Amino acid sequence: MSLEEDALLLAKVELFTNVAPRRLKLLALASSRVLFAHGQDLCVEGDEGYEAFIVVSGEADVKIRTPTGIATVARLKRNDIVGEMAILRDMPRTATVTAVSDVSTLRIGKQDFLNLLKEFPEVTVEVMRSLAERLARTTSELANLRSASKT
Amino acid sequence: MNDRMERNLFKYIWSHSKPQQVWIIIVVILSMPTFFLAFNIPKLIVNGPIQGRGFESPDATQLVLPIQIGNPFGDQTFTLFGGFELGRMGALIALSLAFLGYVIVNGAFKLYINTYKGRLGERMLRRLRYQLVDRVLRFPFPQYRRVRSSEIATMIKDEVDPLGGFIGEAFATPAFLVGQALSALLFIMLQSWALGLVTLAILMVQTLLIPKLRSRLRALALQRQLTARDLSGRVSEIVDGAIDIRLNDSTNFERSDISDRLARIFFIRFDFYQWKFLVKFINNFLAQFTPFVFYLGGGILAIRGNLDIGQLVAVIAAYKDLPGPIKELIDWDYQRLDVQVKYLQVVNAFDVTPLAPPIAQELQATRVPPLAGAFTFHQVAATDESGRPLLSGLDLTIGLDEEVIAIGAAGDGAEVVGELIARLIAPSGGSISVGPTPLSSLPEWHTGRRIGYVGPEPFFAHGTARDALLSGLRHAPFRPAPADAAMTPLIIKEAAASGNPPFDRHADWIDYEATGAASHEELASRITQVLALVNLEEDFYAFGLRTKLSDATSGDGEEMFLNARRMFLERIKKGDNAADVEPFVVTQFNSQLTLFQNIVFGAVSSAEMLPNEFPSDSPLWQLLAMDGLDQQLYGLGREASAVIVDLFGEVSDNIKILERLDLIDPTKLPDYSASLGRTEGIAFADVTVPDRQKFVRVALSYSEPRHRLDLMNDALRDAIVGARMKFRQNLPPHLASEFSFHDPDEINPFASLQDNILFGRIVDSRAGAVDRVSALLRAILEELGLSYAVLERGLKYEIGSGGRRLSLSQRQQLGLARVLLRHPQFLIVNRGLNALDNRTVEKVVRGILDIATSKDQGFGVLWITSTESQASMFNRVLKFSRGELISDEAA
Repeated sequence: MSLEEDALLLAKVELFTNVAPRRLKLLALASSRVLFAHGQDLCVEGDEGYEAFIVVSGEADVKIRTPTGIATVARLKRNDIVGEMAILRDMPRTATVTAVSDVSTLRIGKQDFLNLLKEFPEVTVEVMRSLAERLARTTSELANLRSASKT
Repeated sequence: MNDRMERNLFKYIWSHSKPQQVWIIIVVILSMPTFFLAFNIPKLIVNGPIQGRGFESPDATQLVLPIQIGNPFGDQTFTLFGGFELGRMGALIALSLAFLGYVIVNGAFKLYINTYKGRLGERMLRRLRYQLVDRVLRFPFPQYRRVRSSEIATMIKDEVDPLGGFIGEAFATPAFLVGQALSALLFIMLQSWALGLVTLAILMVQTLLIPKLRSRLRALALQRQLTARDLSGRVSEIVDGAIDIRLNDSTNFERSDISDRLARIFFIRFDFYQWKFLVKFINNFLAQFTPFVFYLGGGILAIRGNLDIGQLVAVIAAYKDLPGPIKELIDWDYQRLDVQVKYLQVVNAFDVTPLAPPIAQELQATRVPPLAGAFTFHQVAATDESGRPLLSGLDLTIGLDEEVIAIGAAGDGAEVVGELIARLIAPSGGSISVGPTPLSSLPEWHTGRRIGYVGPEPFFAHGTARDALLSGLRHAPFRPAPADAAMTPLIIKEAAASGNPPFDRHADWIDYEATGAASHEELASRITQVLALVNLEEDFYAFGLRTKLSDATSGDGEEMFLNARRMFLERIKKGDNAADVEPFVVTQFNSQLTLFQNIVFGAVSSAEMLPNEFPSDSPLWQLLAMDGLDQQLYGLGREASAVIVDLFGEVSDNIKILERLDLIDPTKLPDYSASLGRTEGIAFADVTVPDRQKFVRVALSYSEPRHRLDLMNDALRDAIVGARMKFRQNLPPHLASEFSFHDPDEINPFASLQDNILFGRIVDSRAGAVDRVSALLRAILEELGLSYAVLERGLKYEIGSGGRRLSLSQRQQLGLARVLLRHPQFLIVNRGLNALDNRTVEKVVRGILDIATSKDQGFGVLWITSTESQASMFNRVLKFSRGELISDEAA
């Protein structure tokens, strides 16, 4: 669990793909490794979120409450990120994530992340770029959906 | 009763010390004869026995020390005692002894008079200061917003101080000096009417002109006092607001403001000095002008034969005695004006109306009766200080046992209802009553125990959290102080002589009865209950766990904590999460600790023993150098520094991430960079001591899970574990008391309570470990009955001035707890928890309402907020908008 390794891990996260490796090392330095035992919740739907987790090893299920009960909507594996929106804005968790094996994660605190953005504006620009790309993708997906539903 | 302050200082002094002032004048008069006789004796000794006048023959004798009363208007004398008939040697001895005797008597008089005057002055000063503080405690509430606390403090502390010195002199000194001056003048008059009149004329000019000139000095002195008071007010504002000033980059404005004020003070003071010395010059001139007239006028008269030369010489001699007392008299007069001005300034600031009458705050050592009826508002209106209406035409009845929520945004009037009931503001129209009694007529000792009010910014004096909690219970000295701490008769007598109350500060002022607790133990459970109610118990519990064990516990307490440790270790081993804590094992490296903590394997007495603090010549360095450990540490520290400098190097200021790492001081990054450059490729043996120490210190603060630079290896871990025992054994004796080592069977006094019980550290990297361990710890302490002991240690936490070492939400919770502890009959919470999150507030409200609606302990609640989120929990909901009650619904 070295800094280098964690920086590489961060680089695989979409939000940080364009951020310079040196800066990712910094973020890695400010982050910490957290282990979840099988069955433990990484986060609970509706709770306030102050941190994001990147899965280093193990697997976790993403579950949401639906009118018909709890539905598992995704399974997270290595390099997947949980709760990245929570470190950018104040909002309750939108899903419950439960470890289905022992899960090792890299925890990014909201404050540490914001400090990094404040101190290194170029990181902010890169994160913005990633967000913009995602927004563009979402918009085009939405457009596709709409045109699909019309036909 | 007239509650105004006496504006005339002399009347004030006279009315409080008439008998003493008269007595001091009598003593001064009694001291006069010996005072003057003592002057005469040296002349008698020199002229008589020493020069031999009257002892021309060896066996000649003289009458020594006769007692005669002379008639100043004639030559006749009355002899009361003829004197001792003595020879030359005898006369010398007798006169010398008499001289010594007079010196002693004069000294004794002086000692007595000065002590008496001093005591008189100090008593008056004590009385004045006490009265001023007493008035502050009775100010109308809005006055507290108008005054600056530091100015009040300056007035009570500094500005009245010179009065103490003056009060003893107020009457005796002028009486004495006027007497002296008049007798000298009379003597001149007797010698020559003409010269006497001239002297009198000049004297008149002097006494009339000088005070006139000094009136400007007085004005300047007044300005000086006011500007200085203002300065102290400003300085305290700067201190209180320093954080905001710096966060807004307005420090330089403050600098210029202070400089501006100092300039004003400087010019006032400079002007003052100029005048002071000018007046001095004129005064001296006038004093010397009289002898000039004597020499010239008297000389001419004498040359022409109109004046006897002997008379002129006598006049000039008599005049010698005049300027002294006159000058002192003028000085006294100046001092009088000065203190009168100061006094008046102080009085003006404290002469506020309407003061609460003393009877409203009378000490009530008994239980006060409950309020009866309901709060009834009839056509009540209120305005703020600018006259803007806050509330108009309110008709409302709130039962003393009702639970009501009042909702309204700030300025809509909801909070005004609470402030009116708490009487923080007075209605500008209409009336408020409790049952048949007007609210305004209830004494403070009644409302202050029956009504509880919590605003958004509760105040706490400097002290512990426990003091803050109990500060709402200090109503009266309910139980006398222990005999060794109680007021002595002397202290009681002095208090009475200065008009101070006889209440004993060291008595037990806590009103246990009000809390519903019968004993000290029950109070403990009440405190726990109240803290739990406001959701603050966990916080203080955590404070308690963080306290060092050495911060006061008795021996048996230690045994209890050892028991807790055994139980904890047993249970955590049995459970599924044994890995949540990495135990302290002397033969194992503990990865949760820093390298320094691992080497010491114990705790230090003070921060001075921590790796970043101990000095460069400390013997600890030798201990760290054993077996080449320092070289390994140096290697690790240098490597860590290199990574940090590489990552942060080019940005050198305000790096929060680096600050949080707590490994290298961000402001010193360039230093580390330079050291790295110097030591590049240099063998350890050749590295300078400062560079070596710099990197070793970094290594000592390093902990792998925290800093994650992947610098640890088994060899280093083994070396560190190996160094543990050597460190202990070789610790120099004078440092031995600074360290205490972890021992499974012993309590470690310098380690925190938590470290002592867990005997290990929580593994942060295990999700949920902190919560699981805390819960287990809590359960064990509960079982052993130690919870309150821990909480009590937490309550010894020093909350700082105004409670500033607590967060705003903690202060609000503590403020509410303080009021709940005295179990008010009616509780008003005026946005008192607005710094807390909604979920917590809901929990607190629910808890309070559960008790408020219970049968035996029930009480009324007026909960004032701006949001509707808690409305459903209350029986009755009042909504306010724009100063009016717009809805009043029972749920």
